[in-house]
Amino acid sequence: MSSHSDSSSARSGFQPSAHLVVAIISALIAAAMWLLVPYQVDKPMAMFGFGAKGLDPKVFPYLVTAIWFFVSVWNIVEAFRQQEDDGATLRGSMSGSVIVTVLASFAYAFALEPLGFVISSGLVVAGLSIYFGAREWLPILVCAVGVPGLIFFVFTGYLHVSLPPVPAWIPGV
Amino acid sequence: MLYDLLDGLAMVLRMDTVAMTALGLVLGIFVGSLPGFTTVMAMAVLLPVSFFLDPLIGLPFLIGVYKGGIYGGSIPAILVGIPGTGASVATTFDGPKLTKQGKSRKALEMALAASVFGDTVSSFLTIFLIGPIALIAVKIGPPELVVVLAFSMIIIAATTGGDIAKGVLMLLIGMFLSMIGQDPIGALNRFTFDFFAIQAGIDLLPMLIGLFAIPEILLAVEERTKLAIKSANLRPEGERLRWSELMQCRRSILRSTWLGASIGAVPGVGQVVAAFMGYAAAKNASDTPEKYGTGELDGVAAPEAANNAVNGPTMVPLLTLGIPGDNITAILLGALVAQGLRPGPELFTSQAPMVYALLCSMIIACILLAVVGYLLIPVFARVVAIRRAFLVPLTLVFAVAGTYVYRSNPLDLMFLMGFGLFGYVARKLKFDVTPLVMGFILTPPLEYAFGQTVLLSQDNVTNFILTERPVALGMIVIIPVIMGFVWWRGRHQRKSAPPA
Repeated sequence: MSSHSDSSSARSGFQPSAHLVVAIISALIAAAMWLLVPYQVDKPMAMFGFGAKGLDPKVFPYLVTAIWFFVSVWNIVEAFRQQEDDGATLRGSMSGSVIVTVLASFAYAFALEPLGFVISSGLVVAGLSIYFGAREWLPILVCAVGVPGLIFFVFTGYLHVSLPPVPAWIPGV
Repeated sequence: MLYDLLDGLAMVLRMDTVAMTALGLVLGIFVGSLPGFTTVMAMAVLLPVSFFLDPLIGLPFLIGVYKGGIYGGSIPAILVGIPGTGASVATTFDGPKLTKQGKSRKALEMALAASVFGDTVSSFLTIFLIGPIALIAVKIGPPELVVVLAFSMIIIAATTGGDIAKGVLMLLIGMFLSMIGQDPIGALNRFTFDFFAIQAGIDLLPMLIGLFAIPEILLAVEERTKLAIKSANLRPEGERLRWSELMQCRRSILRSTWLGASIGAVPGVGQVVAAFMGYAAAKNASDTPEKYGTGELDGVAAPEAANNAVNGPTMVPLLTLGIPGDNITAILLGALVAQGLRPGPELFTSQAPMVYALLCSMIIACILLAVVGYLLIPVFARVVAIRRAFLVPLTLVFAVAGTYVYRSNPLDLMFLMGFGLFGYVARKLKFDVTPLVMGFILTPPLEYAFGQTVLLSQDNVTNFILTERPVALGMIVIIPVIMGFVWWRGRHQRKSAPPA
């Protein structure tokens, strides 16, 4: 039995932990940013032929990206040393509810200006409440219409800041 | 100093300040009472509200949320054994046992009394110690500031998440993100990739709300089925707390207050460690340690006094040096900066009464906590069972509205969601996001001070430090030794604390 499980794990091959994957990606990005420093950091202006004194603007970016790279390598070593199956935690928790909430959140962020705050908020609150099991219409109505309306009133009326009021595509708005 | 303190007290003794502090406390206790919703999330979501209020209304409002949230976490910890916040995990050792014995009212009142005592005493200590510390901070020059900032960042990365390598990696990512935009010395563009929208850099607010609020929402979605709470438990029962019982716990409360206040002054350690240390110290000092974990009032008083005593001293490094010790003070830093107040030595010289006004508002918040908590314990006890089907989408609406109103920039919403998703994945993979936020906040002043040091040293930093800056040299030698000792002691004491 034991030899069977050993051979099956050997057949399945090396399973990299999420920590290792993150550390490798981090090291690659850090190295790329270090290489990009000369192209992504502007040169200081020379006044009357004299350059600026003091710290060269590239020094700090070089320093941070270099340390970032070495710390990523340290993490790669640590990931090999620990060999934990931390990716399973992420895969296990990525339930339908989480994915739906993430998608609804992005859709809400995109819809805020085109639909206005109250309508887009009402839609996301009502949609997610019903998805999460709420069935009583009165609490849904209070949460989907009353609360966004109250937030809109507090921000625009009391705190005097702007939230998109009504759908932007309505003529004359 | 005394005149500044009296001026500050006069500045906050206003009805609107007191009313908004009370509102902050109510909101804080409300969120703290909800299992799975943390004080940090409440502060992140409500942070934008403070931007548009007078500093002496908006900042006390956030302080109210902070103190209310830390106390509020004890309510579900006692009633149903689920900590409302991380700070109240140690309260679950004895709190639910007292509820089973029909003494939940006593336990809730003990938690309130210990919280108020710990918080008030530590706030008074902060007020009287911050002045002398600020006098020293004023004398700190750029080289010394570089040393203090660099070591603060390292200690935060090393102590917050558990795994040091992961903490330091997050710190470096935060440092890199802060470099996007313009450099603080010459205002030169860096790492913008010709993308106009990020030429002014990444804003702190979408990052704070994204990293601290969105992951909480997604975790609440995950756990909504696990946390089905029977409403039968949600009523304070039994006799009220007696004065003699409070007096029996006085040693534990005093010890925990001292421990919590000491821990609060060290960046990156925080309420969770303080609560465990308070509990462990009370148990060790007791003649009957075997009673702990079976429903001992001391077991509620000790962690609650300790976690609330952290609140005051965390303001010391923030206000004197501009160094936030944890994610809550990072949010307070965001609020201060948005109000045009840059914490650091200059704040004390230019606006000392304002600083004392904020500290006095902490005392006012403590007094209000006693009143609000005592009157509303039965109400907040019912809050524990509010359905997540409504709370999750409403929290999302608050997060989005708060982010949008700051600059009316739709790109901020993309940053909010991006950081939110990043924060969620990081939490699942056991990467703490606090060092990332600290790296992001502390890198610009670090780079600025480093640039000034290079300029002062005329390009010979080593010689300059060795010959002209003995204080900086002393700090370079002494601080790592102290930090190493504190870190080692913290690990040692966490290991000896009872398991959650």
